[in-house]
Amino acid sequence: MGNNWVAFKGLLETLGAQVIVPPRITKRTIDLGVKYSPEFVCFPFKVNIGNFIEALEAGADTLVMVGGTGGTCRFGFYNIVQKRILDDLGYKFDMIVFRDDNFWEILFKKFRKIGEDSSISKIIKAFRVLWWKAKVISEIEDLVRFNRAYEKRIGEADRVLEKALMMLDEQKKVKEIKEVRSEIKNLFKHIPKDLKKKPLRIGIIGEVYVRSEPYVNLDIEKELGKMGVLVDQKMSVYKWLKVILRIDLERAWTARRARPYLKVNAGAEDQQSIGHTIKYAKAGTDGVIMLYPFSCMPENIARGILPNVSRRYKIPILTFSLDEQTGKTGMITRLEAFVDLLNRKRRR
Amino acid sequence: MATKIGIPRVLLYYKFFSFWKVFFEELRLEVVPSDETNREILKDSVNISVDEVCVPVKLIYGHTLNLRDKVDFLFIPRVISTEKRFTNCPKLLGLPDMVKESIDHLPTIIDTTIDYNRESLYKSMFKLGLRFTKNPFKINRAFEQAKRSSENHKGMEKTKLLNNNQQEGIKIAVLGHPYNIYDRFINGDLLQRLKRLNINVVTMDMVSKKILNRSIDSISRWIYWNYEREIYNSFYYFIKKVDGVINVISFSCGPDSLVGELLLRDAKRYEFPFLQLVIDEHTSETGIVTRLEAFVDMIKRKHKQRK
Repeated sequence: MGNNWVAFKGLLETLGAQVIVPPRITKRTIDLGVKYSPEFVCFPFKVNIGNFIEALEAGADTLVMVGGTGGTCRFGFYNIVQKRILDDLGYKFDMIVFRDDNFWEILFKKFRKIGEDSSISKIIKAFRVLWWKAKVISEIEDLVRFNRAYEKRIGEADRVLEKALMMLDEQKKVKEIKEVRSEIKNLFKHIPKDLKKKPLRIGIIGEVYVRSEPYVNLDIEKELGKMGVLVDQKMSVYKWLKVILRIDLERAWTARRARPYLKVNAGAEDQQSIGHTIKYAKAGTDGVIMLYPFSCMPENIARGILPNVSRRYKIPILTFSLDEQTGKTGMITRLEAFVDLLNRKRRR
Repeated sequence: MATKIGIPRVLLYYKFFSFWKVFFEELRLEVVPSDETNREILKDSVNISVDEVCVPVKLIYGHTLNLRDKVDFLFIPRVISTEKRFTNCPKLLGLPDMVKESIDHLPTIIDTTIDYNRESLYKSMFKLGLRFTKNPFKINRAFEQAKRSSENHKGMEKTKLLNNNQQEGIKIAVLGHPYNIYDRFINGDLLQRLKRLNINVVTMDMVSKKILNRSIDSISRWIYWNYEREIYNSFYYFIKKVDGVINVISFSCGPDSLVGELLLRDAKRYEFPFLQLVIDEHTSETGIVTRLEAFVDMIKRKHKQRK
């Protein structure tokens, strides 16, 4: 998931496992995934299969799948079909599936076996590292979004981003992470900026996975940044950890806002998408971009409802349905047109 | 004049219509189902709907338009689950909301939530009944009558299909959601076509509920969509009893894309004749006929070889 490999690497290393960071998603990953997946399953499934095959080729013997059974969306059923497909391909592996009911069991039984030290304090320590790294990453990403819109020389913020991730990756202890955090903030402060600019503000909503994986969403945030747009995005792994631990109050509020339009949460982020749109409209954001994988069930419900929300709150929405066939040029053309439209709307 | 309540002829209509009909009629309402799917309805649906949902869900828009000016109430229930511990496809959960936000000037929509995980069917229907009458005994009786009639109806359908079948000849099981199998327009009149080819058809309706809902292996245990599990289980029930299986699925159906893949792989493993018919709004009848004939020919040849 985008830059967040740093956080998960931190978790597993502290647990004592040897971590091979898989190469970032490439064309080959997606080709492999498409080849062995069902025809019209949603895109994350295909990318997942590609990831797993490449990991198995690199010698992995345990695959971890987060999310099994629960909800109504396809995601909970991924693991069963994926296991079947990989079995049929002849790979030998062990699959750990996080389910609603076996979360703690896996945490304390399976993860303890990793490495030599098997104390509970190790697990707690590892999760503290994950928590903090995820938090710092989400802060970095916000800073990058801000700097992309205001920087004087285009590309400066992305250079600092690479450096910051490297710095964060080297830290092993929570204390060090905290120290590095202020250092990173300083780095971003020194980027020459033009603060008189009043950039367009665009919020990104939609399905979590395609929002946070740059290869899948064709680096939409970077492209928008190049056009001088201030992007806002409410999802990150840090946020997601909060959701899992049920301490994210904002989520419930957003869902409440969406309730007049969509009464029940039909899975994934549908209520969130609607709620955030309303929130953005009230905050005076210029436009909203919605990203979701092709044929995603919950987001399509939201998409059926959003045009009405858009009319009522007078906020323009652009939707992208992403799969292996989405082309970058087409996307950029549509983005440019959208940005032009918003600029004209603002001038009036 | 009696109050009219409209029921769109889509999705769960094909499973629960007889129940709903008797229930509302006992409450002195006139039940008006929409016309059978036709070209006009399909055209309207495709114009209004989001382009990526499956055809059966798209069709709700056309059928709603068809009913809009004829009725006082529209019955589009939010069916979250019809079995404990199961859920339905998310699109069924958001159905009334999607319709409400897409079509203007609608009659009042009755979006009763039916969720067996929360409350029993009786309770949800009772609440629904209170909107039309204040007499609890009347609602109670309507519910009992509706239940009886839906059971009778199921039995009738079963015998009707079985009477069509001769003793000999090839037997093919048609599996899939009822709204794909029984909507004659979108599947190119599949059942009649099979009959004309002199084939005995069996469907999921002939399998008892007990078999449909059991968990037969480690996979069916985890299928949390009610109807997908029924399809999966009846596939295994039929595999020893029939000569071939046709699985009708609609394009971009979420649950079917995964469970259908499992069936496809299992059929390959057991070398069992299996045809996956994917339908959408562009499917032409000719295409379906060609594939059906090829499939039937293949089974016939297999029979001859065995002899």
